[in-house]
Amino acid sequence: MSDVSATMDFRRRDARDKLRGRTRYTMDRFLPGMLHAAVQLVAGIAAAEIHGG
Amino acid sequence: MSLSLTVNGKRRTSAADPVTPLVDVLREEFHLTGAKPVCREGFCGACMVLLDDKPTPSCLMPASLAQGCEIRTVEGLGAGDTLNTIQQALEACDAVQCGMCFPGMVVTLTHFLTTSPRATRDDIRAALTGNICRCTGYERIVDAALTALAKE
Repeated sequence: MSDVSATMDFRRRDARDKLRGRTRYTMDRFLPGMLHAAVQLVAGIAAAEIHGG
Repeated sequence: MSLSLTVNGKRRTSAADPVTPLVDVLREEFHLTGAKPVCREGFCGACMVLLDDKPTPSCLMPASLAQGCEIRTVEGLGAGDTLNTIQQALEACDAVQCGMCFPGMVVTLTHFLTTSPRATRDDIRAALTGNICRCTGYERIVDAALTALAKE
């Protein structure tokens, strides 16, 4: 059995930035002329069964 | 007609449509991306900001109605590089996971600590009903709030 205590004591290096709202997530990126898109998929037949092709 | 907003103590102007959600003006024009528009229904609390010291979901607030208010976002809570009491406690209690909900959590709890110095565990849980953590890390967040209250 290896000693797990060494790996259980790592501080989160990202916590301070996250707590101050500084972390940039993907949704926080605004590039000039950035294109936004959304895709909605709706089945044409309700409660249909999918058969293997 | 431009909008005049006071954000984290600074006067800012915006040419946005008056009904633009405040969160979009903060993020896209002022580049304060701490507040997150996650549900846009006032349900998740990730976009919480203080309007005249009152926690308010900025996704439901038309920017024009925030004129004349003191707007404070998560970026404006600590002084410079320092963390405020609840931010320090959340770090010390290892409460931070993905971090998406924390701008809102920190805003709600900063207000809560100043208004409810004798809060119990149940009071804190009730105060966080408007802030959803999808990592479900609530216990450590509540622990951190209790730690911060003990220090105040």
